[in-house]
Amino acid sequence: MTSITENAARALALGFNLTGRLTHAQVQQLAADWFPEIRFHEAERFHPVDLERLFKIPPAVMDALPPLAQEAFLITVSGPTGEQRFFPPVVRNGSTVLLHGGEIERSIDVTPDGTERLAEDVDPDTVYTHGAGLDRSSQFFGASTTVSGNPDPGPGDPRVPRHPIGVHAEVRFLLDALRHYLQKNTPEDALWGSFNVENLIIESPDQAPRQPTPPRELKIEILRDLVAGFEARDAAQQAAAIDRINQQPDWSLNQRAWDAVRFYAFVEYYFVYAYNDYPDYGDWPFVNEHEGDVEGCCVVFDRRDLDQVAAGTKPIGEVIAHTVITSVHEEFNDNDELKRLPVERDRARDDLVVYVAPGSHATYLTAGSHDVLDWEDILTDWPGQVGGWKEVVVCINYPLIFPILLIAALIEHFVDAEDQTSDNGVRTGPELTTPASPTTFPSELNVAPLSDIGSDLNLYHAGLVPPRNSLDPAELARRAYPGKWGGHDGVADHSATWGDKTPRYFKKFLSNGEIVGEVIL
Amino acid sequence: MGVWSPAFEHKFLDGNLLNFDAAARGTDPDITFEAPLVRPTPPPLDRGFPVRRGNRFRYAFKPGLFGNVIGADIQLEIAFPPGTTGQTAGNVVLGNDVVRFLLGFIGGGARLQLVVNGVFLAVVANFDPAAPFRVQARWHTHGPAQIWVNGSLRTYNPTLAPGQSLTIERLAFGHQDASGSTPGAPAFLIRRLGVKLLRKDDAQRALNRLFPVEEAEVDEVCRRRLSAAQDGVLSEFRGFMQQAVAKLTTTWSAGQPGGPFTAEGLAAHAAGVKVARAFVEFMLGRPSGDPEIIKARIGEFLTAIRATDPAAYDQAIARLAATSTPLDAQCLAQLQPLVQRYGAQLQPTMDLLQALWTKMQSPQVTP
Repeated sequence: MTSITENAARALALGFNLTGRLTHAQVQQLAADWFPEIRFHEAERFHPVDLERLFKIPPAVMDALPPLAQEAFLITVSGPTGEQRFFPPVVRNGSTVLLHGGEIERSIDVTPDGTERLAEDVDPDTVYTHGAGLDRSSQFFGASTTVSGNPDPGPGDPRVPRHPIGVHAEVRFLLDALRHYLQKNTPEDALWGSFNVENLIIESPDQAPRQPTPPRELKIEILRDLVAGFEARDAAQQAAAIDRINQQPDWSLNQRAWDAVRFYAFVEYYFVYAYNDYPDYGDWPFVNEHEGDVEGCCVVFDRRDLDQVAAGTKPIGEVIAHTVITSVHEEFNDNDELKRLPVERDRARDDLVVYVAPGSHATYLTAGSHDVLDWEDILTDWPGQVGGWKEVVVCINYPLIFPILLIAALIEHFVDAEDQTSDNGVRTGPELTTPASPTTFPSELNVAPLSDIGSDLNLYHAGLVPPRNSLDPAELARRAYPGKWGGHDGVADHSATWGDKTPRYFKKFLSNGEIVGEVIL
Repeated sequence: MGVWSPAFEHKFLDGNLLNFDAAARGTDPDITFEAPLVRPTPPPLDRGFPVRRGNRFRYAFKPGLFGNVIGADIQLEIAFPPGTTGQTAGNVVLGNDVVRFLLGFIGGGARLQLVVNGVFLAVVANFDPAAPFRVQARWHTHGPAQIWVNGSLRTYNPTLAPGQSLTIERLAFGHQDASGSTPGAPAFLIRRLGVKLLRKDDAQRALNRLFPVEEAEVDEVCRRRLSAAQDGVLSEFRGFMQQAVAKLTTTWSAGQPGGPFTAEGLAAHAAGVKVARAFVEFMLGRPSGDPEIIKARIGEFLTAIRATDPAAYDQAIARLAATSTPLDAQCLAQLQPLVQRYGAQLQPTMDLLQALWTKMQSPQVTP
């Protein structure tokens, strides 16, 4: 694992820029103009907070507790030298504690605040935790009373967000995201991103597991040429790259995917929650819970509009968002939702509403009940293979298949899990900086600077020596942190790392979106 | 995630009729429609599929994806544009007419009919045309079939097409007559259509997810033996469950006294839910997955269903106990890598399963 300083230097060398020719100031305006209205369920206990508050709230709450009460919330870490107890949160590699709540500055926006220590020694196995339990998360982050002061929420009387609602936004021009994915010697962190869509752009026959690894490297190499040819407006280079695709047996360029990459850009809104308490709301089977939960939605723009904004030929106020895409449970469930927005600006703005299901924090586009579906799982049978624990059991003791199959026959009769979304809970959004009703709450929109690292504002500037543009190294360290955002590591209950959602949104856009390719006048 | 397989879902979120989800979506749908398939996004109240003569949406599933279907679940959200007072009708059809959900409306009255392989369940319901209208039809090969209106059970039949296994290769919805175009005719709007299907192996796939193991190469002969043996066991269970469902529940429609479920049936259902739920929790390593609870509840469940026909139950268990492993030495050798790798980890599960098998052979619970 490289350090933030090394990553920042690499980003500089690679010309990191995810926003085309848009400046960060323009990006901020765009993200604010098209910040969706977010409607939470009235029973929602954990509203989104920004990454900074994940670190600063637990020790601040601890400070307010009497010492005896603090005891229950200290985090125990066992190591070679015995057990040690820390103020939450703790960031650790195994038994080695990198950072704990006792070392973190409690005040928001004060820097350095201690979290800049995450710039070193962190990797995908590093764990952030404030206790990995519902009780602890509730203590630090959970809403407890409703708007009218009741303990139990109801329609129109939702739980009041415990802390200011925070939303993180990032703009990713898809062509730029692809170019950076294809580069070599890239930063190894959670900020750089991984727009791994080579198999969507260059299609080839499905490969069963245990077959030779698909020739990913060849696809990457061809795509580098294709992207370079397009950016240089070099028709011959592009044609040569496409020829190389067609020369491979059964390979083909997915023109729709290539058009989507070239002509669209995403504004991704990330909602960071302290805890996923889905079992309190969702029905069996296979509900999960875990500390740390990064969800969100995406607003799609036609890049050609944004290029005009950058060129000064179109006011940013005339840009109209194209599509909204949500994020529903796991990427592999393929259950995200998409809506083409109306073509009139006001109507598009009014239609930009996302609903958050309580507990799971899956985002939807309508209020009501939603089956929790997994579109991909039904396709995972491969001829010639068996892969189930029951086969192991059958091998060892055959009659044990009888109770297994009895339980299988039982679970067929149960109703599948559902998410519920509602118009009757807390709302936040762009027009809501001044609350209009008791259930409307303001939110802080934090737009990460990801514009041209050479000429504009980019978060990696904070990792350079010395930092540039007054950006905060702690902010970069938190956003680039590659580890897990919680302490659950079970089969169903597991905390994840921050994975940018660009590939999954792209997949949905490709599958269901309205994509217009080259316009020839 | 669920046990049943999602097959098709359309929420009509915008003006693009192609904005839907389907299992292994690949082919384009065949849509007969009064307007372009991709229209500018209409106002929210106008979104949906207007069902009137001429409008029909047909979709072919990937061949072979939905063979051996033993359950079907169709959910619809319907809206009536203001002034829709005339008679309107539509349907959702699965397969080659093997499952049909027929919808007929006039004013505030609805006639709903679920047909499975020619056998039907029907209900008449009143509703408020100004409010969203949700209907659901569900059938399972053990016999139970239900129609729900706005979340309430309206009719139930415990013996609708029991034992059937269907092949669903396509889906269609809209008006049954796709000829011509009648844009001005009265229509109701389908705001959402969700179809889930239960294939015979879906529940086992769901259980597999509880303890992921690496896959192993097993030859065709061994796989067929395993599959045939499991089908045989399930066939015993299903045969017994069909008669148990028929005895523990009864045909019923809203307005009739009582309900469709006997007290014994409700108790068996509650115990069965607890068994399965606790077993899942156990496999996931959660504290709520207490093996003692599973053992106790499975005793209650088995006692209740055994009581529906003790002799048949005992005979079925005896037949199972008399069976031997379908795996010969060669098959066992192919699976040995999995055994070596996961056998020890699965020991607590096997201990629990052994206790459950003992209960199955002697389930009596003292009331």
